[in-house]
Amino acid sequence: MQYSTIINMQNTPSKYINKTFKIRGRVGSNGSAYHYMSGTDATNCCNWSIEIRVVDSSISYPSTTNNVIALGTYKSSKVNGRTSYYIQVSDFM
Amino acid sequence: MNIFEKIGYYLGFDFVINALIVGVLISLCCGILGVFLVLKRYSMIGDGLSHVAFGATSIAMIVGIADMYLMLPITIVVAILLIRMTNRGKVKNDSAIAMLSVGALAIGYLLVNIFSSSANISSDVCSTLFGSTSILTLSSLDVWLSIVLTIFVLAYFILFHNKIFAVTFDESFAKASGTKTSIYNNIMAVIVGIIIVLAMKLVGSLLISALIVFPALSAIRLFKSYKLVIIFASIVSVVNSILGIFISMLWGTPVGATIVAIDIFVYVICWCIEIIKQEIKKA
Amino acid sequence: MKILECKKLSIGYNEKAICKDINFEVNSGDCLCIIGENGSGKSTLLKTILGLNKQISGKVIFEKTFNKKNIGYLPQQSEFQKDFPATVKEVILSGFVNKMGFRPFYNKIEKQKANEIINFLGINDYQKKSYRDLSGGQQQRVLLARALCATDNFLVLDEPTNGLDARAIKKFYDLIFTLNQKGMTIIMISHDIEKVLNCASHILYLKDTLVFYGSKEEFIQSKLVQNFRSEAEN
Repeated sequence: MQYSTIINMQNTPSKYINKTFKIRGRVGSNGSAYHYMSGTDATNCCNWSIEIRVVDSSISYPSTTNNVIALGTYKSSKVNGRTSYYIQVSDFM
Repeated sequence: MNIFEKIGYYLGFDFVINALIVGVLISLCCGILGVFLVLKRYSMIGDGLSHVAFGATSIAMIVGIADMYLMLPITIVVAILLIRMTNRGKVKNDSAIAMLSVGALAIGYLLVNIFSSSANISSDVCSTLFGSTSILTLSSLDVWLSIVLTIFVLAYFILFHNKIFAVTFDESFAKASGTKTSIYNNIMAVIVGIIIVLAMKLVGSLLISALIVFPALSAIRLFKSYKLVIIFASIVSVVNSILGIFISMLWGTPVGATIVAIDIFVYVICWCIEIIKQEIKKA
Repeated sequence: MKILECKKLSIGYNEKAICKDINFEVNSGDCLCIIGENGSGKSTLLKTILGLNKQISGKVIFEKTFNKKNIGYLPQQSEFQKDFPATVKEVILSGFVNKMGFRPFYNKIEKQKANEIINFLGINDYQKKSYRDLSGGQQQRVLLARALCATDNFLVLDEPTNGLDARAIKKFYDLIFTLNQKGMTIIMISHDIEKVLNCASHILYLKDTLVFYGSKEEFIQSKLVQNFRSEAEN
């Protein structure tokens, strides 16, 4: 379900903007540019990944490579005319 | 959340509703179609055509167009050719299907690996073969196509059911008394092609035969009237698919395999009921 | 009245002729029995006449006013038919399929005619049963009922007594005889030479080519009957 929901969020974002989500997956980053969460579907064959941002400086990105759960809101931002979507994380569990 | 709350919550999602709508429509068509394919000994045609459709999807992936535009026409054409070839007796049903099935799969997979620019080939392939979550990530084109095609298929089967029965039960007799059997066979081939392409979204290429075969076989075990067989096969097919989609959503199992597992379970139950009925008759 | 004429007909498959130079005609009310060894082309001849198979050469000419949809065919059963899930009624009613046009459902007249045929053939006892639960003889009767739904006057039967026991065979030929007496034109392939001589009006004997065509009486008088009998015994 989570895989499908994330794919649908990315295909038709307008339906999901500003809604709150709990996502379970691994946190990763490409150095310092951005962070993301990723995971697979039930058959472990298809991957999903979604950008995450932390606005509140008291929250830090988990360094573990295990699964974590992130709680956040789906937001959009426009950079150089391109809209991108991310989860604004309010808490990691 | 308990199960019912969870279901209520999921039903609030567009894509879940779409999955259920398309799941019901596809399995309804597969249930009806399956009866004819099983009775005409074309049980494995679903497998063969879905592998051909996979080949078409691979080419579409490479070329970069939406897969439906290639899958539908190619699968329909191959379905017509298959049925024509086997009717003329030049190639036996099973050899023809085997050749096409394996050939398309191998060449499709080869081409995707050589030419594709996709980042994650194996997941694209896996998704097409097993359905994975395709049913939960449908586009509106998929949904509308399913609705329109199902209406067409149902209308055809209802309006022509007696002629279709005559041609299925005894093609020679039907032809001798004036029915243009080749037209009915061609229409059936087109419908098979369309349904296979749509069913791939639900259960993936590898499991399509199950969707076609099991509900029909369950019905044939239990009922002696052709009308009842078709009605029961469609109901069973729809109920199993809905159950399968819900179970897969609630417990995270792969959709296609879950539906097929339920189909098998129901078939075994029907088989047991048939045995019990026979024992009662003997007593 | 002449219904059907075959002129210099050569029949076969894939351009290969298995029987050549067949000439005969069928008039209204005839009972034409086609006999010959296995492989002599009897079934092929029927299929060619009915348009299921293309002739190698020659002509199959139906009388101009004859409606081809008015043909009742009883083909040899295929294996998968014997297991088919359908009630007897459904099978019999399917004989009307070509009279329905685009109408999706059978009408009252057709259902009534089917009932009359069921009575006439004595099928009442098992009309609600499933076709696959019937014995061979019962299945043949049901198929005959279907053929009678399709036609009022022209029956084409391909070895209809195949696989039946002696009693069922006798019953079947009695039925054929009665139908023919009532005016039904019948073309039938048969191996039961004695029964055939009872009810046929004409005989067509095939072996690579036309060996004999003529009335039953002519056939009996010719030496051919003895030939056929001794061949059948060997």
